[in-house]
Amino acid sequence: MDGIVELQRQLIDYTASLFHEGFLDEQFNQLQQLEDENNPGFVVEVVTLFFEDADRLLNELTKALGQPSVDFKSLDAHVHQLKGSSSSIGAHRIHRVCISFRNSCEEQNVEGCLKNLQQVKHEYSLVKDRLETLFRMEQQILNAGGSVRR
Amino acid sequence: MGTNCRHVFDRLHNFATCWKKRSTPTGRRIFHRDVEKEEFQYASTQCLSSYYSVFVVRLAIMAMLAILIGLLTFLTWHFTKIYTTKSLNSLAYDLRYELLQRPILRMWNILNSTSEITTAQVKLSQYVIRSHTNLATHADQVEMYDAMRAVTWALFASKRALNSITVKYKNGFVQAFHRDLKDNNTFYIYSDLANYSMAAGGYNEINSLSPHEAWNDKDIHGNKSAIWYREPLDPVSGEKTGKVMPIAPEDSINIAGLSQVPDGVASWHVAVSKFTDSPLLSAALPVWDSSNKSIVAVVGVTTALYSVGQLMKELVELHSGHMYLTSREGYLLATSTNAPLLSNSTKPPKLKMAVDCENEVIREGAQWLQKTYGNNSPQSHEVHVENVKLGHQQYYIDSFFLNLKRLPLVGVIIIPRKHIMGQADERAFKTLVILISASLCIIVIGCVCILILTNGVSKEMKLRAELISHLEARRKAEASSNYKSQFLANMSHELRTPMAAVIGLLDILISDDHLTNEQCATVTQIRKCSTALLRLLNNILDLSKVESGKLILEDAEFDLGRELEGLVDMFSVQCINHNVETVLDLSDDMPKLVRGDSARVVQIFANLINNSIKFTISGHIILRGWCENPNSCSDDTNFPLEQKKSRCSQKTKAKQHENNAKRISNRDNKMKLWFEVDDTGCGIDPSKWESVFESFEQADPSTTRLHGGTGLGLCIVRTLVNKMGGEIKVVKKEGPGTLMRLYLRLSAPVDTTEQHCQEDFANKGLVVLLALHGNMGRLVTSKWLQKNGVVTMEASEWNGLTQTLRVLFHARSSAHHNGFDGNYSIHDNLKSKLLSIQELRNPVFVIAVDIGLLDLSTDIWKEQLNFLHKYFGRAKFVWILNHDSSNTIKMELCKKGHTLTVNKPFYKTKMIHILEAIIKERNDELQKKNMTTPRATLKEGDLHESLEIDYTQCDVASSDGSDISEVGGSNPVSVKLSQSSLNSNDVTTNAIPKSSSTKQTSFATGAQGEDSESSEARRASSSSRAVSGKKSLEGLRILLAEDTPVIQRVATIMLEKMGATVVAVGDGQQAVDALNGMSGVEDCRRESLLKERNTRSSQPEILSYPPYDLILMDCQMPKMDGYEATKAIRKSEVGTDMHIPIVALTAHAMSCDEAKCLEVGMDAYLTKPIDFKLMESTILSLTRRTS
Repeated sequence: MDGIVELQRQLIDYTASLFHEGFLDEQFNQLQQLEDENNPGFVVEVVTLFFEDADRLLNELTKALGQPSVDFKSLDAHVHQLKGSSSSIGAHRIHRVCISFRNSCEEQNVEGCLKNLQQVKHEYSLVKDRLETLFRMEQQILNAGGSVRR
Repeated sequence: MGTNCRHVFDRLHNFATCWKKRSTPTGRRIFHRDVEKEEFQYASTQCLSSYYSVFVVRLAIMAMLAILIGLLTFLTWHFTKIYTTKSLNSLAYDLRYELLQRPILRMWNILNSTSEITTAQVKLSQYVIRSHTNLATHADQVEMYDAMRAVTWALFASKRALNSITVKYKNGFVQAFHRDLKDNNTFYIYSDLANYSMAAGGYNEINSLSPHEAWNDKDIHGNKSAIWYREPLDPVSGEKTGKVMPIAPEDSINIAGLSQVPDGVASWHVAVSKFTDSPLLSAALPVWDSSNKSIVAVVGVTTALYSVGQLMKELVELHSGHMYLTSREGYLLATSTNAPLLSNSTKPPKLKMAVDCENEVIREGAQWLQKTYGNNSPQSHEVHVENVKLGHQQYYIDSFFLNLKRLPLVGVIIIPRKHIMGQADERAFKTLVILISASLCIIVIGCVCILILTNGVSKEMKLRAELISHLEARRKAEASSNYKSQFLANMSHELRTPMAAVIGLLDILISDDHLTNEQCATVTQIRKCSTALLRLLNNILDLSKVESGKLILEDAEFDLGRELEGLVDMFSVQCINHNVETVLDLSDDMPKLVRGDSARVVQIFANLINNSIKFTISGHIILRGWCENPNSCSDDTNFPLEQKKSRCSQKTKAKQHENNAKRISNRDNKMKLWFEVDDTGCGIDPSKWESVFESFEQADPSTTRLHGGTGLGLCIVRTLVNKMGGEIKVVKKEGPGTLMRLYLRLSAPVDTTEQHCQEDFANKGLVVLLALHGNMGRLVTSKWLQKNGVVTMEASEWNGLTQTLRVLFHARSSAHHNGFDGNYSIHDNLKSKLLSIQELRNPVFVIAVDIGLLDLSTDIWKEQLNFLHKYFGRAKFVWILNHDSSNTIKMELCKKGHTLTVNKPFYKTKMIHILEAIIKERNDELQKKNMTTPRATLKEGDLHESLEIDYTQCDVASSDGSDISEVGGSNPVSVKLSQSSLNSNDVTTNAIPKSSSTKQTSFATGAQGEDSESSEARRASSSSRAVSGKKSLEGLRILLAEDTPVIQRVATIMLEKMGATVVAVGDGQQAVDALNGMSGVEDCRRESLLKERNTRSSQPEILSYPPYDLILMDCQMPKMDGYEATKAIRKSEVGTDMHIPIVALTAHAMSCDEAKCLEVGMDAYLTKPIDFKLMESTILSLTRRTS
């Protein structure tokens, strides 16, 4: 039982650190609030959706920026989508980078776009890592028979 | 001059280019305001240079003028002078020539005549001598000499100018006539004849071939030894007049001898005689004998040159100047002066050189000539020189050469320049001076003119420069203002998000079951404050909106009275803390429902009241409102309120109805609604009455420190009021404080004007005792009651209340005994009221007691309560509670059965509801009496509940006035609920039994103006709230068009949590497809929905229909974006009366996007990330409106 309490404490600390470091914002909280007995695993589902979506978008972006002549319009649309979905799960840092990415797109600045793409990828891998860790911890708690307090 | 010209030209050229450059932007500026900004930059840099160029141009023009005028002057002067001088010179030359010619001619004459005389003498002598060839005797010789003398005399006498004629014979005899010109004596000089005895020998000698030596020797010797005689003669007749005087030979005159005619031809020379001071011209000619071989005599003639000098003098006298004649060698022959021509120092006298002349001018002239030409004088000696400086004057010097044979002469004339050119020079000088001064004047005047003329230009330049700088400043200001607006918009947007979270969390907290009342009240208060804060943020956003002209007023029906009541409710809380009374005083003729933008109207008053509260420390704040009837003839603008009210009170009810009826007929006309916000604060200085409405303007800058505030409130108010076709101003008021008066033009909706038919309270036997603390509120309420025919009494404090109660009831009881007790001193006014009460049949007493009248600080209030309880049976008590009244009091009241409670502030509507409830209860009572049912205390509660329900029900009706049937339908339900919750002791909890329908109302109004929901929110029942909050969207079908799977999922779950059924599609095209084919079942859906709502039961079978209550539309989607989809949907709706609410979902947070969304036909606007609460309230407000 102590182990579970310890794990729960760790989870809370970890979540707090994620918020503190700006990986997540309140939208994630809202997301967590939406999860209830009617739709269990909602957060995981949504985040997984996000991961799929983001993977696809990042591929698209990489491809688009690899072209000799960059289609900024479609680039912008992709970034916009990424921005929307990241803000919906509360991935705050990706959201922020997306904003500057869009600015670069508007300026038609290929250099900036590439830089931002790298940044987005970086942030995305970070967030993905963090969230997977978070879910793993939650899973551990659940497996141990504890409950994840929301 | 050339470089100067070029310089000037360069300047002009520069200026011209400058001007061109400058004029180009000027021209463009007018037509292309877009490029203005760039041009400004350019123009402002040009500004300084153009400034300089004006200066340069000015200088250039001046210089040009100066040069021009200078040239003109010079030319004028030059030409006048040159021509004058030229003509004068030629004239002067002629004159000089002429002048000189005359003495020379004279000279010539003299010479001529001398030679003629000489020749004549010679001829005559030859004749006489030849006729006397045989001089045998001495007598013959004498005869011949006499003849000679006679002939010679004749000649001498004929020429008066002759100085002398001499005849010297071969034998040495001399005969001579001499004329002394000085003393006009004439002498005959002859040698002693006795000495010349060898006359014959003389003949011989004469005949000899070589007589010369003998002649000469004898002559010399003979002469030396000879004795000469001088015989004065009568100058005319030649008679001897005086004694013969012997004189030394050649003493008086020169006798021309043989030596002077060495070669036997005539000789000329200028001689000098001892006796005259003028040179003499002498000519000598030999007399030949008949054979022409030997000279028998020598004739000599001398002529004085004196007459030439005389002539010169005369000429010079006439013309001034000097003349002289010299021989070629330079000896002076004649001068125009009296200076001696001979040097006296030497003996014998000799001729003077011209350079030695005593006359200065002549000397200097001669010296100058000599210096200039030296000895090699020019050919022919002719010299014409002008402007020779001699001494300190200038002269003309001309010389002429007269080439006489053996006697060449040089004539020199020296004329002072002044004489000839004097006038001309003077004139020329004067002309020059005048011209120069004139031109200077012209230049000065011209420069002044140029200055004046260009001053205009430079002024214009300055103005233009100023204008440019102003425009620049304005542009900057506008830019900064834009930045400000942008910043404010962004900031307020950013700030609103956390505020929304705060409010949402508070809502959750309010809906918590476990809160105590106190906590609930506090949380409600926090929520209110949060809403106020949110409103402030909205204010800022509004201002930026208004400033950019983007504010669009909504046009929807709303209950003006209720909105204002809500407002006063809210502010009263603040005011009570301040010890300030908030009073709402709306006249009865105000329309209940009006069309307009309720949120903005509320905002106006919220700002005004807020302002008043800020500056009012004690006293009251009154919000008055009345309607200016478009049919009434007079303008009420300047009517004092009292007058207006009295006028109103005179109106009968019938008339009011009539007016209402008229108003309906004129419903298209917008009504002019007047409002006043009157406070007793510190007031505004009259000079600031206008400026307080400016942005960021406060009446007193120090107020920011004291009261805070941004100075935006009144600015927004004025903008909004103006936008609603009204005006606002500060009006002078008596006493301290501020009175803001404004009017709004709002249109009353068509069919609801008569909805609020309040009951007629007159003749119902109502007696109201108002025991209220606040003076103004009491006054206003009692006035209204009296106007409506209700007998009213007032008491302001506890003692007054007890006294009035005693009087009232004791008097009543004593009235049954036909008279008053004298125990109580009763006021006349009270007396008359008592009398009127007595007349009432079966009066109902209503006593409204302010809880503040009780002494709450100690426990006395319980006794006071007990005292009042004595009258419980006889009168209905209405308790007016403070928002912070403690629960113990409330419980105590409840225990005693005092269930009629209202919260402060106390205003008309509450009064009406109370009275209506009481009347209704009485009617029930009467019915029950008829049914002989005993009265129970439970009835009290029932009454109370029905009152409250009435009140809330009225809210529902007012916010959705058309839905009357629903009101009726829901009424019994509410009553049932309230009765079921009656067992609970908590009054406030009891007070509001919230059905889900009222909850929805509160949300609906919340969307319009969040403050208006406060009254409900305060009384929100926690349990019902919790239930309704969770499933607020129960039964709604929502179509979600969103391409991003994450958001789609999140939104779906959110909506489902709220109880809605969600159909999610991936793009706009699918959304449009999903809607197609549903129009047929639309009506069916509406009915079923209505039914569902009324019965409050979830009926899933109805929901199997495909219609949607609402669409959530993402703006950016593949295939068909949200805007296109909305357009398509709206297009398909044309012709039907359907209108599916579409809510935009967008990540763009700017207001322009909102405008775009609304433009394509969307109804509302949500930003991502989706806020749970905001989405809920938005959806509710939209679905509520359409159903």
